[in-house]
Amino acid sequence: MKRPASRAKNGLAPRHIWALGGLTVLSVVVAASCDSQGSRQGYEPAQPIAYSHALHAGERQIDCQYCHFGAETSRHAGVLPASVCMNCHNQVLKDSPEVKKIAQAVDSGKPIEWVKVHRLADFVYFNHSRHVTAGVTCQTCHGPVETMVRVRQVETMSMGWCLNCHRNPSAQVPGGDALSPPSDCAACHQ
Amino acid sequence: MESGRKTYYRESDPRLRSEGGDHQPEFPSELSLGDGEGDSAQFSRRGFLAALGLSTAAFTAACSRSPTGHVLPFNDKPEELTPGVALYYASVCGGCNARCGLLVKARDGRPIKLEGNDRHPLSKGALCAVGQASVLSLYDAARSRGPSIAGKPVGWKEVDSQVRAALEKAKTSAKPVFVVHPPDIGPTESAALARFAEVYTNTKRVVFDTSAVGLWAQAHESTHGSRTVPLVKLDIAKVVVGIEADFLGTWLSPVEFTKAYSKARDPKQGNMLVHYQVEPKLTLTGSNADVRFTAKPSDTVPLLAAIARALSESEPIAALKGIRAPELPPAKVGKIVGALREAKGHAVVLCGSSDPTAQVLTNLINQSIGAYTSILSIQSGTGYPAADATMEDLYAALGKGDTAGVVLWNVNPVYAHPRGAELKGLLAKVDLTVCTNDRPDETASAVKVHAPDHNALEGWADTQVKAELVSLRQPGVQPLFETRGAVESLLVWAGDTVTEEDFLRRRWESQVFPKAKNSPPTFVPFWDRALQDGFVELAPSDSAAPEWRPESVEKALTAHAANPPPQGLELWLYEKTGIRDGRLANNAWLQELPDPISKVTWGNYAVLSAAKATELGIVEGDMCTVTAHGQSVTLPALVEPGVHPSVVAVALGYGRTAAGKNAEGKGADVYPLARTKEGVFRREVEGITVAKAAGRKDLAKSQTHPSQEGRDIVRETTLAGLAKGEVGGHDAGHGKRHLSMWPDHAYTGSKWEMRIDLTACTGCSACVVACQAENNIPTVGELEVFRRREMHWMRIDRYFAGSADEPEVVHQPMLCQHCDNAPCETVCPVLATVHSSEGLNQQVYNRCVGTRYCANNCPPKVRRFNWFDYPHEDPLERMVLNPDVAVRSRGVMEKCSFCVQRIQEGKATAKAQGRPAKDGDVTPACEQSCPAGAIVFGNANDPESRTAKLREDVRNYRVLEELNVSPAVSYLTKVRAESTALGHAPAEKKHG
Repeated sequence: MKRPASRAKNGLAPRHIWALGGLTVLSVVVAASCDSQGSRQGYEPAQPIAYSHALHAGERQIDCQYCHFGAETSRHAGVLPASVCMNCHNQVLKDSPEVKKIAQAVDSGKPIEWVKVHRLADFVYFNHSRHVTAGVTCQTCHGPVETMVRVRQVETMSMGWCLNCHRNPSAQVPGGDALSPPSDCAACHQ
Repeated sequence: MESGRKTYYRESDPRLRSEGGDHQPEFPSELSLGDGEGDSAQFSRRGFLAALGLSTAAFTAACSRSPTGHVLPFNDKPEELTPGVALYYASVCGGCNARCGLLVKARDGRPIKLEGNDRHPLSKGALCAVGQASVLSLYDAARSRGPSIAGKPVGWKEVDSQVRAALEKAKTSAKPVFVVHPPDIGPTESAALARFAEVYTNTKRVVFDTSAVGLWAQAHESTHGSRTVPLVKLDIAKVVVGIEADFLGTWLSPVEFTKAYSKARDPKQGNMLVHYQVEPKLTLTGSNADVRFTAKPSDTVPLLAAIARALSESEPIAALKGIRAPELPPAKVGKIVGALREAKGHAVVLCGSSDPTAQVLTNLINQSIGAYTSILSIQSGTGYPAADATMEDLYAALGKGDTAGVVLWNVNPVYAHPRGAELKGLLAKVDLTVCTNDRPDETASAVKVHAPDHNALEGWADTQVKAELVSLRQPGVQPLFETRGAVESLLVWAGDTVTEEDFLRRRWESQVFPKAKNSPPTFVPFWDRALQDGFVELAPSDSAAPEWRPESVEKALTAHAANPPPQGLELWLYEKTGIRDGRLANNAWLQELPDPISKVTWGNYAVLSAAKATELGIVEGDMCTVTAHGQSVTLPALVEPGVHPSVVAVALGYGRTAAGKNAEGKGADVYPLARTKEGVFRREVEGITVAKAAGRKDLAKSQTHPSQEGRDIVRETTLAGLAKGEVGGHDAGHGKRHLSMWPDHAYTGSKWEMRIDLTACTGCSACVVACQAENNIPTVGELEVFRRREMHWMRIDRYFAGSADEPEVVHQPMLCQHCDNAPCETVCPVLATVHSSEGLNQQVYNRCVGTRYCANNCPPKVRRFNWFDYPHEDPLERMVLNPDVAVRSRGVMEKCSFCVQRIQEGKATAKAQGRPAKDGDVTPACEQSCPAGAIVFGNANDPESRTAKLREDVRNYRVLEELNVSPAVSYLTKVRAESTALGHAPAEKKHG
C-alpha cells in the first residue's frame, strides 16, 4: 500500500525515547544544581563600544527615550541608530577611539553589534510601551542605569518577580491599583 | 417521522462509498506510526552509545549560561519604522484574478500577514484562503534569485543586451514576436505592452486563459458589443442560478460574491436570496445551494436552451429549436424556469462552462429576465483586452518555424496548456525565448532567457477591477532577490529606461488623475490618498448601456448542431478552493488546506459517484486510469455524493514538476486531458474511459468521520420553519442552566465570546488559512495528515444529508470552544491549560509536558499536539512568522487562543486612548478574513456588543450542551431558503 510522503524531519525511534527519558532526568538534576532558575541576575557583559550610561544618562541627563526611542510606542525599547550618536559626536570627542568606532559603523553601513543584557525567554511576550505608558519607571526593572558605567542586570527577571508587581502594582507605581495589570497566563505567554 | 429533523450521513453510508469499499475509519487499528528506521523497540548498542553521548553533551551544556544575544540597531533608521510596530500598506492581492483590496501587515520591514482592506468597495475587508496564503509565496525558497540565460545566472545588463539585440534582429526579419500574457492585465501593464508593440511592430499579443472568465467577456462582445465581464450585484438578487459556476469558491471574484451572497441571505430580513445550482460535481457553491441538481457537463447547453425557450414562449427564438432537450428531467428544469420567471428583474444566471455557446445562451436568459437592467451592469464591468492571435496561432507559427521570438509574460503554458509538452519542444527551436515567471518552473526552464518578475508584494501595479474602480498595488517589502518588475523589463527592452514605479506614477498622473471622482486639485495629494486607500474611484462614464444584439444568438448556435446526447463517461476538470489553477502549488498552506467537500489535502483524485464506482469495481483509494483522447492519467479514486453517475471530476493545478518541493509529486497533472477548441480552453471532455489500475493510495483527509452520532451538533431549519419558531435540534430547552459541581467564574471585566452563523458560513476556509498565518501554525505534510496529526486550530466540519444525487451539506467551523467548565483544564497534571479571568481557556506552552490528557478529554477534539518540531527548512521561510506569537516546539499541546495577542493589543490601544475597550476593538484573524461575516467576536459582558445581542437570538445554540461544558463559542442555526431533506426524512437514530 502506497503511503503518502512525510514532511516531518525528525522521526523518533522507540529506542531514542529511552535515551531521551534518561537525558531529561539528568538535565533536570544538572540544571537545578548549577544555576538559579536560569536567571542572569548580575550579568554585565562587555560591549563593543565602551559606552557609559553613568555619563550620558546620569551626568549629562539625556532622557532615556532619546536613545531608546520605541519604549513608549513599541514592544521593543530600541537602541538608537548610530547616526543619532553622531548628531552630537560629529562635534564632541570626535577623535576618541570609541567614537571613531561609531563613525566607522555609519561609514561602512555595518551596524554595531551591542550585547543584549536583559533577555527574556522566547515564550515570554513583553511589551515596553504598555509598562512605560502605565507609569512604570525604567529603573523599576532595569535598576539605577544612570549610575552604571557598564549596564548590569539588577533584577532576576523571573516570572515570580514580574507577578510580584502585577499582583501589587501600587508598590511600584503610585495609584497602580487602578491599572489592574493582568495576571492571566496569556498576558505574557501568547 | 419527526418534522424539522434531518438524517445526516453515517459512517459506512452507502452514499459515501462504493460496494466493497470501506470508509476510512476514524480510529484505524493498523495505522503505521513507524519511523521508517525499522520499528524495533530494542535498545541497541549504537543507540545506547548515542544516548550516552547526548547525555554527556547535555550535562556540559546545562551548566553554561544561555547564549549571548545581540542587538543590531539601524545605522540610519527610516523615519516611519519603529522596530516592533507593524505598518500597514494598502495594496492589491496577487493570489488570483479577482484582485481584492488588501492591507499588507509588515513588521520590521517584512510582510507577515495579509488582511482585507475594509475600505475597498468590492472585497470590503475580506480575503479568501488563497489571498491569505499568498504571503507565504513571497518567502518561497523555490523562487528565482535573479535572471539567468540558458540556466546560468547572469546580470540584468547581460539579459537586456541579449534580448534587445535579438528583438532588433527579429524586427528586420519580418517574422512575428509573440507576447503571451494572462487575460487579466492591468492598465499600466497594458500600456507597457502597447509601448513594446509600438517599438517592435512585429509583436503579436496572445492571451493565455484557462479560466472561463475571459469567455464570458467574449460572449458579451457578441451579444452586447462590449468585451466585458459585467459587474454582478448579487446583493440585490432574489434568485441566483449557478450552472457549472463555483462563484463562491473559485469563479470570477469569490470574495466579492460571498460578501454580497451572505448579505442577501440574512434570514433577519424575512426573505432570502434563493440559490439554485446545477453542476456535475458538488462544489463549494453547490454545497450552499438551496436547490441543487447534478447534471452532465454536456447537458449545460441543452439546459440553458430549454430555460431560454421556456422564458421566451411568447416570441420563440428560431435558433433554439435545433437544440435537443436536456437530460435533466422537465420537472427540475421547470422549477428553475418558474423561479426565474417569478423573480424577473431580480434574478440572474451565472454560468462557468467553458463552452462559448453556453455563455451566449446565459446572456440570452439574463437578457430575457431583465438582469441587465438590474443585477448585471456591463458599463460598470471589467474590460478584457482582445488578443492579436490565439494559442493555436502560436502553435501553428512555431510549427512552421515562422517565429522570431516568444515572450512568456507571467504565464505557464508548458504546464497549463493541454499541449504543453509539445510547446516545450517547439520553444527550443526559436532564437529568442523569454519568460518572466517567478521561479524556474515548467515554462521558465524551457526558455533561454529567464527574467524573473517580482512577487506581487514586492512590485508596483494597478488593476482596473471595474470600469469605475482602479486599484493600486504598492510594495510591502523591498525585493528580496535580484528580480525586476515584468513591466520594467518590457519597457527596458523597448528602449525606455524607466522604473516600474515611475512609469506607473506618470501614467496615473496623465490618465487616472483627470478621471478620478472627488479628487484633490493637484496630483501629489491625490497620489498620496491613492496610496493610503489602495484604490481610486473614477467618475462614472455617461455612455449608454450597450444594446442587446439578438442576431448573436443565432450566430452562436449555428455551430451547435442538434447532437444526440453523448454516451459514456464525461470528464469535468474543476479547481479546488485552495490550489485553484496551480499557480501557487508550492504553497504548503494551500496544499494542506482541506478541500471543503472532500476534506482531502495534498493532492487530487478522480471523484466518482458511488454508483459508477461500484459498476467499475473501484473503491476509495484504488488507483484508476482516466483516458481522454489518447492521454492517460493515473490517480486515486474518491467516492463522493453529489456527482453525476456519468461524470468523473478531477482537480486541475496538481502534478507540478518544477514549482518547488512542496508541489512535487503531489497529485497528477490533468491539463493534458483538457483540450482546446477554436482557441478556447475546454474543461469538459466527452468520451473518456476510466479503468481500475494497479495499486492503492490512501488519501490524507482531515475529516474521516461523517456522522454526528445522533447529536445536534449542527442545527438546521428553513426560512418558513424559522417564521414558525422552528430552530432545529430536538432539545427544546437548550440553553437552560444545568447544575454544576464547579463554582461559576466571576468575569468581572471582559468575557470573550464568539458567535458563528451557520447560515452565513459557506465553508470557504479563508478562516483556516488566516488562523494559520496569524498564529504560526506549521504544516505537517501528507503522511502526518493521514495520521490525523494536522495542526489547524480552526477546522471546518462538513456533514451530508439527503440523497446521494442531491445531497445537502452543512459546513461548521470548529475551534476551541473556550468552555467555562473546560474538561481539558481539570485533567492537566501540570496546570498548563487554565482559565483566564476573561473566559479564555489558556494554553501555556512552557508548562506543557505533553501528556495529551487534555486532547483526550476535549469533546470537540480541537487540541493539536506537536508530534515533531516542524522546522522551516529554509531560513527565508521563517520570515513569515508572527513575532507576537510563540513558536511551539515538539511535545507541546496547542489550540485556538481566540487570538489572545490581538485581544491584548486591542485592550492596550483602548487603554492608551484612556477609554474602555469597545466592540470591534478586537478582531481575531478568522473574523477579520471571513468574507461571509459569519464570525462575530467580542466582549459578551458589554450589553451593546454584537456577541451579547446575538446570544439572545432565537437561533443561538451551543454544541454538546448536554455535557454542560458551557462553551464561549455558540452557533446560529443554519437557515435554508428551501430544503428537500428537512422534514421529509426520519430522524437519525440515537445511540450511545
